[in-house]
Parts: sequence; structure tokens; C-alpha cells
Amino acid sequence: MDKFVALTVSGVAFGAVLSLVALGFLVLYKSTGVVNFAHGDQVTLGAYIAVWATTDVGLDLPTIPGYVVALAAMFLVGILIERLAYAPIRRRPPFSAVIATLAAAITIRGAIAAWQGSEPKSLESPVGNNTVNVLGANVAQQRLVIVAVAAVAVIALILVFQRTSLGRSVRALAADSETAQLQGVRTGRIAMLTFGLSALFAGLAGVLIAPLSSIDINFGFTLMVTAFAAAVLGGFTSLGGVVVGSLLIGLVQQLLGGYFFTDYAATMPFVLLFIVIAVRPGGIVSLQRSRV
Amino acid sequence: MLDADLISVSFGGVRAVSNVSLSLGDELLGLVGPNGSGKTTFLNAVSGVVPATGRLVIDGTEVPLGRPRSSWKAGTARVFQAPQTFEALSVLENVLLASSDGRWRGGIGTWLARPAMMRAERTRWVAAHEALELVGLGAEATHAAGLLSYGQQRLLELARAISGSPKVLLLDEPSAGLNDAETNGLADLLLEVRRTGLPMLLIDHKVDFLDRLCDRLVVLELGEVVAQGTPEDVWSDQRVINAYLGAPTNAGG
Amino acid sequence: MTDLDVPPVADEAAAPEPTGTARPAWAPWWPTRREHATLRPPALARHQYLTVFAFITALWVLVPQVITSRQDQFNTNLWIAYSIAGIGFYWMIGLAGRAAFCQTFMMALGGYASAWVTRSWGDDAFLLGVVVAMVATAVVAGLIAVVVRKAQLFFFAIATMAVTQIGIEVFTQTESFTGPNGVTSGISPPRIFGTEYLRDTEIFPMFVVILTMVLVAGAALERSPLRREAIASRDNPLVARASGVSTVRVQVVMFAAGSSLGGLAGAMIGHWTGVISTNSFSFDLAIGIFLMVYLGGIGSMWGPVIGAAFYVALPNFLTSFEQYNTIIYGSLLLVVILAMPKGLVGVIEKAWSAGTSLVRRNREASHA
Repeated sequence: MDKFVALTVSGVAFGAVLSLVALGFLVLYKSTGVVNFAHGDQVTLGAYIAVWATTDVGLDLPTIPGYVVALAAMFLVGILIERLAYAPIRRRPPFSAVIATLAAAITIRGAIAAWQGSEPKSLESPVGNNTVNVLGANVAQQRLVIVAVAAVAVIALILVFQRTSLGRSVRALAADSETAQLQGVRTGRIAMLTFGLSALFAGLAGVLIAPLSSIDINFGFTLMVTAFAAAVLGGFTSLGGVVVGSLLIGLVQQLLGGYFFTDYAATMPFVLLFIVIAVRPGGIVSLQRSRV
Repeated sequence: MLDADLISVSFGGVRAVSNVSLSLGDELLGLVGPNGSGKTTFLNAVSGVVPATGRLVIDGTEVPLGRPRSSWKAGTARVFQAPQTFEALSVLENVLLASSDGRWRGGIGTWLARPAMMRAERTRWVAAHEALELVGLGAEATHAAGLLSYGQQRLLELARAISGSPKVLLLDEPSAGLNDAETNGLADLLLEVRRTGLPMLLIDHKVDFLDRLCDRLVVLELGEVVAQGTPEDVWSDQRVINAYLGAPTNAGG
Repeated sequence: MTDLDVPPVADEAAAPEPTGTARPAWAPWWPTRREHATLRPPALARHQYLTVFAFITALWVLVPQVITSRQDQFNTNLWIAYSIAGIGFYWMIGLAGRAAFCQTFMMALGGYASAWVTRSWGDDAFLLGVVVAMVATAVVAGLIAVVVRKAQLFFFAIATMAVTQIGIEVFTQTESFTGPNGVTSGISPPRIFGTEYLRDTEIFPMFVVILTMVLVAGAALERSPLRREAIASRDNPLVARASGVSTVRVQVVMFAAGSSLGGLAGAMIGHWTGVISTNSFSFDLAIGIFLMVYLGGIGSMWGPVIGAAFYVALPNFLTSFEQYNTIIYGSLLLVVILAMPKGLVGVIEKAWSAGTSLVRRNREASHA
């Protein structure tokens, strides 16, 4: 029973982080049509910046202000990526943009490696390593913090999407980008904003999950691929669906991995991702889209 | 030759084509109607590029709907409204794509049975070249298709369609964007193809062009058949006049 | 998808006469040169086989002259292996439009499979091992491609990314097939009919022979019905299907064939270096292959060959910036995408056509 509770809590916490990652690249996908392969490395970068901001090699700030610095920096990184890797090729076919985000991913990786070296780092959490007792199981407080913060962030994002003019513009772009542009939606500004927002979410996810493990160069990449699985499972465009998909993937990975396939726990999300794409392939070119 | 029975196509909640039944014999049938009446969508349904419901029989065999290759196998060939040529390929390669001769076209022919592939390719090449000659693009065979003019791309598509020795030719506004002389040339060409005994289903807006070519017309409005018959009968039909000019309403307008 | 397009090369000189449909009785059963010309000559060369021959001859003669250090010989061999993997990648992504992230997985699979064969059947089974590696990767890739046949662009890319992750984990766990922690070491060196190829300088001619075969296969593909069907499936699958092209079959074949070249490259690297581990085929190499193919040019099979040369050689020029290598690769890829979408091959082509038109103009001027 304790094991079940512990696994469930970590599943939910992991799912919450996944939904942050997944929503981050989905917001971008909806507004620009680009799947950002640099998203995972943005997660890593966010965590590393937070480490730098909270330790004495860097700013040596207390944890929470340090996190805020990291998130602000990530927002700027997102805008920088938009300016360098997306804005110049916005009118090219979508695959160019994919390659450009790959290029951004490598560059970020290289920058992290040159800046922080290959030693794994750890990030301090405001709640430390404290645990609480939930139904007889010891649960790290950090996991509860993750769930709470992620819930607030996800609700805020959904509200932004439904209530603000930015959200309306993004939804218009997602529905029909040509018409939206003709109606005066300013794609350039929105692309910058969503790139920034998306990177901010990546950073938040990185900062939240980093205290539970150590950070290395592949830290965010694995999260990103897992989040892809969640997004595809959730239907890839609906924000609510993605949250559900993320929680499902988090739980499945923790429970199946914890009980049955302990050797292959880390592989679970990829198997799920592959199955989901095989059974429910998205993005089939429809006739209406290609206007034959 | 082609029997469409209660074909319907819906996009979301909108019914673009509603229970259209149509039978095409050994003839050149014109499909007309105002914009948005579902003509192109009907053609899309027949060539399998949109999901549709209903029953489609071509040359005695029932064809599953919504599968372009099944429709192609059953003998349909399509000329699209906006020319859909493969610009990265040469003109001849565009035509070769549609060849009904499928021998040695895969990996084995490419890497292992090359002489056999070459032999098969040669016969395909001759057939494709004949189709290009017919439409008058023989001299452009090795050009990249992307370099052709709009009118030439349309001819290329026609060549591609007939080179697969289809049983039914589906033409979607072939005269769109052509001037009078080009339209006349196209009509001559289509009549020449028609003389080989190939049934055709033609969508167009130009009345002279239709009158010259078509044995029979079918009029669609809002996704339903409203009239059919010889061109003279159809053009004098009151419902057709209403469909095109708008029904005289009490509001006056 | 226009940036994947092969640049249109119109060969007006070889245009057949309008009446060229009927073949004379004396014509051979194979297509004549004029008929051949109508299978549109691809980028860079009308005479692909001649180019392959010239390239290989140059390689064979020049490399032993130029190379002085062991490091250079090692890099040259690595270049050849990467070129082969890159050509496979070009087949699947450049021609068939299937963007895949699993070429490194295929390389690893090929390496493990071939090592396993020589371990089980003795050192003489090298050639068998290579064949097994290619067949195994082709079969695995074919199965993957069939299962996710309906996934488009991003989804296919993501699915193949998942395959790579699963594969690495499986290789780490199945120690009886791979080795402790997925490291197979002590792989027997290539041995063909009793002759062992041990040193890098001995390996080099063998690799050149393999590269020749791959390039000939590539040139054969450039003049085949498969190529045009692959391009049609890539550019407009719906219209291709309505014209009778079996896009699924074509894409599966191209993906399997491209992957089997990955398997071949992996087997070569395994037997040559003696070690295969999941680390040698990491995400960095996956990105590296993208870089090679795009830097060289996605529109031609020579692109990956040129790109791989840069990828292997670049660190030598940048020894003082070693820690910034990855940043340089990333920025380079970005610059390629932004400034030269056709890669180095595109630049060479442009220079070539400028040169030939200059020559032609001079000749015309001297005639006049």
C-alpha cells in the first residue's frame, strides 16, 4: 500500500512536470506550427541557470529569487531563439524550421557543456529534502510542491488562452493561420511572445523536477520525448487533453515501471509514444488543408 | 461504366455533397453548377481523396471510398483544378508515375534486376512519350515540370491521366485560366481523346466549351442534383436558371 | 517541402526528337543513351557512374599520398563509414521525405548484429556478419515503417526518436546479445577469405571498396522508377496515390534501404574499431548525421559524402576550441539552413553552372 501511494504521488508529480513541458511546446506549435526540438534542452538550460543563480559560483541567491532569475532568463532565451532560428525562415516549409530548432538544440547543448562541464549538478529546493507522511507513505515535499505549482501554472496558461487577446490570436492562428494574418493578427510579435512563454514553461519544468534528481546534459531531452508521448496521447492540440495525457503517462510510467518492468521503467514512455503514434497517427494531410 | 449511388461527403457538420447519384456510360458527361455546389467534392469522392459514403461501381466492380489508390486501380484518372504536377521531377517522369505497368518499379528492380527494370522502363517510356506527344509536350519531355507554364502543366496532367490507360477520366475545370484560343485547343484535344472511347466526367463553367464537348449535363446545386439532360434542355430548365442567377424571390433580391 | 527538392536540372541538349517514340529494329534491349537521358539526370552529374568512378579513383590514389598521420587515416576511415550512413539517411529523408531520428540506432544494431555473428560463427564470418547486419536493420526498419506508416513528418520523426531511446535501453539490458552494459568489445577485425584487415591503412582500401558499392547502388537509385515514386510520395502523397503510386510501399522500401546502409556503417565501424557501445551512437551523432546531410546538401547523394568530410575534419581545425565544438556544429547547421538550403552541393553546382556558362560565352565570343 505504501508503495502504491508513493508511486502514485510520484506519478502525479511527474505527470505535472510533463504537462508543463508538453504545454510549453504545444503553445508554440499552435501559434507557429513548429515542433520545437530544442524544448528539451531549454528544460536543461533552465535547471542549470537556476543552479548557477542559487550557488556561490554564480549569484548565490536564495532559492526562490534564484528560480525567478532563471525563469526570466529563459523567457529571454526563448525570444533569442525566435529571433535567430525562427524569424528568418518563417516563410519556408515547416521542415526547415524543425531543422533550425534542432540546430538551436545542439547550440544550447554545446553552450551548457562549455559553461557547466559534464559533471552532474544538483539543485536545491526551497523545501529541502523534507518528507511528509501521506497515507503511511513517505513522500518528498518537493513532489507536492511540483503538483501545486504546476496546477497553478497550467490553470494560468489556460486562462490566458481563453481570456486574453493574445490567447485569441494564438487560437486564430492555430485554426487558420492565413485568415488570421489577413485579419490583422500580428504573427511576428505573437511568435516572439509564445517562444518566450514556451521557454519559460520549459524552465519552470526544469526547475521543479531538478531537485528530485541530478541534472546532466540529457536531463531535459528525455523529459521532452516523454512529453511528446503525452501530447500525442492527448490529441496534440487540446490543452486539456495534454494535461490528461501527461498525468496518464506519469502514472503509467511510475506504476508499470515500479511493479512490472523495473528494468525498462525508463523506456515506458517511449514504448507508449510509439504505440500511440502507430495507433493514432496525427497530422495526416487532409485534402482541405492541401487544397487540391 | 461508372455508377455512383447516393454519394455523400461531409466536412464537420457541413454536407458538401448530399446523396448524389450519377451514372456515366460511354459518353462525355458535364457536371455543372454554381460555385460551392459540390462538383469538385463529388469528383474528390469518386477519386477517393476525401472520405465519403455511398456506393461506387466502376466497370462492374465496387470501389471502396476514400482510398485514392483503390479508385485508381478501378480505373479512374484525375485532372485536378489547380495543376498538381511534381515540380522536382521531369515532365516525362511525371507521366511515367501514372503508368499502369507496375513491373520492376521497387527495390529489386532498382538494385538487383536492373536489366529487367530497364526493359520494363523502356516500354513505359514509349507509352509515356506517346501521351506527351498527344498533348503536344513531346519536346519538353526532359524539362523539369516546375519550368512549364500554367497551361502546359495542365496539359501535362492530362497526359499523366491518360497514360495510365484509365477507364474513366475525371476533369476538374480544365479550361480554367486558359484564354479562348487555348480553350479551343483543349476542346480539340479532349475530343481526340474522347474518340478513343474513353468516358469522361467534366466539370467546367464555360458554356461554349461544355456545349461543344458534352453529350449530357448534370446540374448540381447545394450538393444535390437538380437537373440533367442534353445541354439544350438543361440550359432552358428553370431550376438551372434559378440556381445560376438566383431564384426570383419576393424580397427582390 | 520545397527545400528538400532536387534542384531542377533541365537537360535540353539531350531532349529526344518529337518523333522518338518508335524504336528502330536495331535498337538494343537496354535503353540507349538518349532514352536514358529522359530518366532525368540528377543533380551535379549526368554521368553518375563516371562521377563515382572518378571520385573513387581520386580517393584511392590521393589519400595514401596526402595522409601522413595515424589520426588522419583514422579520420578518413571514419569519414567513409559516416558517408555510407549519411547516404542511407539521404535516401530516407532527402528522397522519400521521411525524417527519421533512428539512423544511429540502426548503426548500433548493425554493429551488434555483425559482432554477434562473428562471435557465434568465428572470425571468418565477417562477410556473413555484414550481410546479417544489413538484413536485420532492413527488416527492423521495414517493420517500424509499416507500423507507423500513417504518421506524417513530425510524428514519424518523434516515433523514430522513441525507437532510438527504446533501442538503447534494450541494448543496455540484453547483455547476452550486446555485452556488459551494452558494450561489445574485442570484436574480431574484418577477415575476408583468410586475409585479416587489422591496421587503419589496411582497413582503408576495404572501406573504399564498400563505399564504391554503396555509391554505385546510389547512382542506380538515381536512375530508377523508385526515385521518382519516392519524390512523388514526398512532395504530394495524395496526388501520388491518385496517380497509382503506392506511397506506403515506396516509403517503407526507401526507409528500409536507407536504414540498412546505417547497419552496414555500424558493422564496419564495429569490426574496424573492435568496440560497439551505445555511447558511440549517441544523440550527438544523430544530430551529427543531420548536420552532415544538410551541410553537404539534402538534394544529392554527394551531399552526405561532402558533409561527412566536414563533420570529421572540423575538430582538427578547431583543436583550440575543442569545448566549443558542439556550439560550432549547431551554429553551422543554423547558418546552412538560413543561408544555403541546398548545402555545399548547391554552392558547387552554382559555381559549376556559372563556370560552364562562362566557358560557353567565351566560346561563342571567339566564334563570332
